[in-house]
Amino acid sequence: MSTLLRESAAFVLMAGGAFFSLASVIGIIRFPDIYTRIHAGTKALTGGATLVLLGAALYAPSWQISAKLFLIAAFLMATNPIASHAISRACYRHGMKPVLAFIDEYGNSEEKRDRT
Amino acid sequence: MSSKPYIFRIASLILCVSLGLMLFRGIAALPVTEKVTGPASHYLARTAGETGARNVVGAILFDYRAFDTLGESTVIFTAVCGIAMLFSRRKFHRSSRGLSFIAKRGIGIMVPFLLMYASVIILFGHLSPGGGFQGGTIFATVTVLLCVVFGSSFESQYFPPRTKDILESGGALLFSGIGLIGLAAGTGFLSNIAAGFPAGTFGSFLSAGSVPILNVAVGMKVGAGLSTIFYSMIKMLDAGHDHREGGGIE
Repeated sequence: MSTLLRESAAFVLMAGGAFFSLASVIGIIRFPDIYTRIHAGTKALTGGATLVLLGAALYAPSWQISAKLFLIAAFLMATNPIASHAISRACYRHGMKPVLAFIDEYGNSEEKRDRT
Repeated sequence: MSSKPYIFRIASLILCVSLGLMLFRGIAALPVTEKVTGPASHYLARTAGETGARNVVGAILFDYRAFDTLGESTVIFTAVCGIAMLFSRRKFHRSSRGLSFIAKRGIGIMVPFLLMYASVIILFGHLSPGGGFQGGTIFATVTVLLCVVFGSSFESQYFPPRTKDILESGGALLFSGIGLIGLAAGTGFLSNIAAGFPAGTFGSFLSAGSVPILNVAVGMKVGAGLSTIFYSMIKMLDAGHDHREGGGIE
């Protein structure tokens, strides 16, 4: 019984990860500019891969494998946001303005810093 | 999106589907055999006894075909020499700006783990998947990360080009020296157990004779070499690129 419960929970988590990956792909194709696309692309990792890894950790036969999968998930959670942040910041610094944005707080704060 | 002709998309869809079908049929056509034949059966049966290494791939790379591996790492050495020579006249502008605070702190936390991972992959190359080439590449990645995130002056302060030169040449000398020991013992260049290297207990950290030492040598060579290639190539990026304000990704 507990095996059934564990495996079904694992499958639910993996299906959720697959859904996040699909949503991320659709977002990358459909979104208008680079910032929203980066936002969608990070979901493939922080949502998709992490959920799949957690599901695999539940499904794994021994706790050593589960620990490894948790470590991989933690590494992805730590590095992927940093990379996306660096990419989007570099894009902004090179003059790409966000499409369809009315409030640009980052640019305003930069201007304020430059004036003072 | 809609500026592309409709027929273009149909054509690319057909191309992708037919390519995928061909690949899947190729996988299906692969022979499914239960037993290995040829040299593979020899390696699988005798690697443990002849080399003491548990990683058969590592044993083939660094024992049976070690001479081949010496040639491969010499190819990297030659490439590094060529690239360093091509860009040697360029004056390198050191940048210490780097990326934002978030990226710096995050990478600062990750780098020790990356270094540990690279060392484990090199040092356990005779026991588990991995080895000198893979671990050396991760070492080079660490220096590239430091260079991009913290600025090149930070990176060259911790890993000066001179140190990389010494490491790379030291790796090559170590590899050739291990080979010459075999020659001196009269069993042939780069011979392992036959030349008197202790085989150790099978599966323990200190085993497999000269395979771990050769792993370390190749790791030094590949890590320092790839890092030098990156260092030489960002000189080229820097040459035609004046420092505009707030550029931040140099």
